[in-house]
Amino acid sequence: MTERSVSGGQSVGAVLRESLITGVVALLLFAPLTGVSLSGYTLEGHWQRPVWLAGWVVLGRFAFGWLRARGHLVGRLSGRPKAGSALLASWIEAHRTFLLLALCVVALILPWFIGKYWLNVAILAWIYVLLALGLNIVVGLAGLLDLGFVAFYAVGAYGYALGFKYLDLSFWAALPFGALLAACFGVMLGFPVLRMHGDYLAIVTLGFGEIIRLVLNNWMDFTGGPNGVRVPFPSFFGIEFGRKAQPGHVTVHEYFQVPFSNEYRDIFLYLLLMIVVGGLVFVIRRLRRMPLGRNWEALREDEIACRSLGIQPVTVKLSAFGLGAMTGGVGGVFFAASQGFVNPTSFTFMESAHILAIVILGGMGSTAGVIAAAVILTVLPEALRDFAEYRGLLFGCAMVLMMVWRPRGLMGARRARFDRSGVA
Amino acid sequence: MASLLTVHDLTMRFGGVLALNGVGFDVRRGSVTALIGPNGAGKTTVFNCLTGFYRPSSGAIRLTDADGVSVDLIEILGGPFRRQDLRSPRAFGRRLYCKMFGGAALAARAGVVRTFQNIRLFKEMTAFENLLVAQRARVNNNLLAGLLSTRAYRDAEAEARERAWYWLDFFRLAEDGNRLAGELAYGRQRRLEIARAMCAGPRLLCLDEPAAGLNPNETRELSEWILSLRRGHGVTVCLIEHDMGLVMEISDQVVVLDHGQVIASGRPEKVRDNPVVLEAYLGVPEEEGR
Repeated sequence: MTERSVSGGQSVGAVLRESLITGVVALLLFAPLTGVSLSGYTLEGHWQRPVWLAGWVVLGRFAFGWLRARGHLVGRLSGRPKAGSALLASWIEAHRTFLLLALCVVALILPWFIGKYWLNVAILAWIYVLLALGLNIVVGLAGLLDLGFVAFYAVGAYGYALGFKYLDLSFWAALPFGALLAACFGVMLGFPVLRMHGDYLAIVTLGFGEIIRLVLNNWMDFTGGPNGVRVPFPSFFGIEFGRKAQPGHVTVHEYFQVPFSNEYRDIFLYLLLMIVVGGLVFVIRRLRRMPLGRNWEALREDEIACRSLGIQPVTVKLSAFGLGAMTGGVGGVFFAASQGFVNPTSFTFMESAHILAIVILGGMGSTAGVIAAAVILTVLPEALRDFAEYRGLLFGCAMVLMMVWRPRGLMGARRARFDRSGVA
Repeated sequence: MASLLTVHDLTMRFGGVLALNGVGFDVRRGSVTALIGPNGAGKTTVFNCLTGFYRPSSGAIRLTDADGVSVDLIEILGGPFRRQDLRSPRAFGRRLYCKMFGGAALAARAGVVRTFQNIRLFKEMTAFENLLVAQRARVNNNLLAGLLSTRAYRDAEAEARERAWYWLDFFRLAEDGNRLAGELAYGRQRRLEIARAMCAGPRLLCLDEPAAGLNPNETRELSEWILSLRRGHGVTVCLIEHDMGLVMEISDQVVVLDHGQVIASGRPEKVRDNPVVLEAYLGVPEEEGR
């Protein structure tokens, strides 16, 4: 078609002509569609609407053609699959440290300026990063399809909530407690499903996720059922974030002699989450090059070959389930702390599906890709609130497009390279 | 020379099918033993029993070390609980452990490592990583040591890397070290699988049709490699192979299976001239048919 002819001729003039033709076609299409509207019994003309739309189309078409002519990023969407992405990848590779540093600085500065609403979104994004990294261990590295990951999230969140209610646990005590509790649940789930693969495993884990939610929902005496449980906000070395301190404590605004704002608490959580995610990224980086991480991936590739080399699938699977669940548990504790309240409706299957979508979109096994996908899939729906009804549709489209163009996710996992002097 | 592996009266039943019927043979330490026979004779079933993937219906498989320590390769599969287990907590614990963690992995740890007829590499990992995974026994598996990157951990990793390079060089795969195993050419995948098995530190290396799909040159190289593994690395080799040229050239002992039974065994030249073997392979004239 006409598209093809442009990709051959690289001149700006050809691109310009092509985009103008596209604009005329768009104008013809949009004029009856958007230019005329029915108001009562009379037709109203909105001539400026189709012109605006056609203008955008011309601009977009021109940018697309121009970038493609220059062999740039967008060009790879049609035509040449390698050049653009390879270009981007090499650019990222070359500026890796700088990019990471810049991202960290931006992430550090961000919470002070974005306001309460977006701060909460950002915290949620960090929590999803945690969850997705945890699920990435199970699905991406060990290759065990887990559709009930939200169970461990719930265990972590309720571990804090009920731990506070019955054992008077503080946030800092709940963090390891929730993590260990979730890890125990992970191993507990791991045992009966040791012999299962793929679809069967997915169904069993799905059931497990629902069981946890139903128990939380129906065990009124212990969990409060649908009414949920109140969760205290965390404190920082005894400094509290409320307006008034408990007897014997100080609040943060008194301590630093600044006016009270309830944003401090969220900023604190945000920064803490950043540290936790940073630590987790470090741990996962190490793990991937450690025997355990290698065994996870080997298990994903071929369980029979693993056994023939003396690797116990049992321990390898349980460790993946345990560590993944532990991360989910930490995410749960943070979720409870940021919401100040938990109830079972936060832990439905949709949540599991969302986390799994992040892992798949990010590229199974790739840490950077998963983090990017988690941020995108949490922030975008908030930014596009007006299109809330189409969220599922957009989600589905994104998935389909991903499967067509980048079946290995936004960023495929990078493999460690070795040379004779050591790890390169 | 003492025998490394003794197989005695091995019987394997799949429902009504008798796949192995009283198979018995010895493998001497440092020898090359070939298992041959027509398709469906039960060769791979014997391999699966040796390497712990199948639990034989009856019989005994024993692996005896140079210093006399012997391992019962069937016990480690974790049989059903017996009454006397109740009286001896130790036997009970052992059986429970074998039931949970047993099978092929324990057989491999005992020193029986195998390759597969249809190559089973970790395809999405690099060739080098394939070899690292195989060195389970040598690397430091301690989680904390790895996370903190202690000296012991780093030393163990360095040693594992060195060994991986050694085997890559040995099989002339060095330039493919950082390529994904699944991308390699077929012949190289075969070699990589043997290299990986060698990284697992086998005493008995079981090769399931190592020459399948190789061209004559590659087959010749393979036979040299197998011989030098035996000579230079103290490995006893047991292989299933259809390429008779290779079998006759490298093996010290040939065991011929047909319909789940050993119909002949001994020196290759003796087996070659055995009328029973010829009959099994070529069939018998119509009027004398069984």
